[in-house]
Amino acid sequence: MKANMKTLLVALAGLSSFAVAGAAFADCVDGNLSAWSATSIGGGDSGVHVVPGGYDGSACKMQINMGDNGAGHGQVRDDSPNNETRYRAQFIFDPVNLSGANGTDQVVIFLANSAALFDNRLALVKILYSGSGGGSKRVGIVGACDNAATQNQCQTIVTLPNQTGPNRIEFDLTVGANGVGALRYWVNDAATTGLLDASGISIPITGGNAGWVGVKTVFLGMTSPSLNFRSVSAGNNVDKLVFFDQFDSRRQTFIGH
Amino acid sequence: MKKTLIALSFSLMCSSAFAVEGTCSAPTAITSLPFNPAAGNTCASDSNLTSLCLGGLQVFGPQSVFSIHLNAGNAVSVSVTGTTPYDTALYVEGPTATPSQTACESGTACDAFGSTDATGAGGTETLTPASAVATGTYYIIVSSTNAATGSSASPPAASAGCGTYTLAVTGTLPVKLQGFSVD
Repeated sequence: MKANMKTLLVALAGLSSFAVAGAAFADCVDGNLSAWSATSIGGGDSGVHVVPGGYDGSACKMQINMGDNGAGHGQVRDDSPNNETRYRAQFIFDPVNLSGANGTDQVVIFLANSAALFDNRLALVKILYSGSGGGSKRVGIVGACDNAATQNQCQTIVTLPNQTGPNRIEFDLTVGANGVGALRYWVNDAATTGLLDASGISIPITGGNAGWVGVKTVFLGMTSPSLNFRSVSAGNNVDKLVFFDQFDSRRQTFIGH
Repeated sequence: MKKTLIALSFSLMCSSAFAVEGTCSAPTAITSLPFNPAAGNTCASDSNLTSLCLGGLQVFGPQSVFSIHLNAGNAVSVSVTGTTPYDTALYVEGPTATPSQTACESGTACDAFGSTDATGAGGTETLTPASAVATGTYYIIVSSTNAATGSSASPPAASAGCGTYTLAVTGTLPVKLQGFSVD
């Protein structure tokens, strides 16, 4: 976590950014997550900690361990979005200690939820960690879309560029009717620089996503492990710890690196 | 005509075999403890939420929803046991001072009691708050995470995992003054 993140984010606030929970990481003291709206921990021996050794020049990072429990969760929550119809966010995700085996080895690592249900769903954007049949570590990026044929989920699978360390994930969500609602994403090695706004990859949001109105609540961390994740990657052991860093969210401007 | 009547009769028998399951719009109210209702069946529920606890936790399969009002300091424990092969998960949302369908569906966290799915099919899930609860309405929700597997090609999708369960709620509820007199 960059020591100057809070200052940086305050400066960005004047440039069409909105309140950003990442300021919570400014001080590398375990438990110092007060800038987030809440911390949500439960299920077995799940835990959320702030530990030294952040990425890309930052001082510290958030460490999550997932308990062996189907309702396990270790998350921080940001309530500052206000039904945002344009929402961009970026964070670093390091699954260095997770297994890449088996496509059913899955856990949710990010949620951008609406304020109320539409098509029985809240999540406008959901990002999952997943293994694969070939053993690669991947993320699934899922956007809400008003298309019952795909269970109102429009999604893609991305193999993480850095299989042994941190990756930088960014997305750009636009909420709107069919043809207007959009979701773009960037997934890169955390050290990759020179990223451009135009380089994002689009996920077709079939039917649009206007019914979800906008982003209201955001969760960063791990939640809802699948049975297979529990069998291979859960438990409060040092070889199963997962790390997050440098969360940033904005209404308009590309974050990049 | 005869076949139609037989089919209709069979359909009515099936629908009446299950008790009505509570939903966020009409939760089953718990007004006294201990609460040990007849076995329920989430397959009979109209509630098909895909996430609970302020939307932070994913669930798979329908839910049965109960509501209970607690006062500060009340000590309550909730447990649910599924009938094999049903693998239940248990969530308690709350407290909320303004109970509503929206509060239940998307507006209430699970920080007081938490959530659990520690055992497998036929196991018992139990939630007891670590500290004294605050005043308000709580939603007890029986659901499942067992089907959250998906495939190697796509993230998990909602499934129809459901089954028969037995709920038990124990503890003390707020005391109401029934009468007062001065002799």
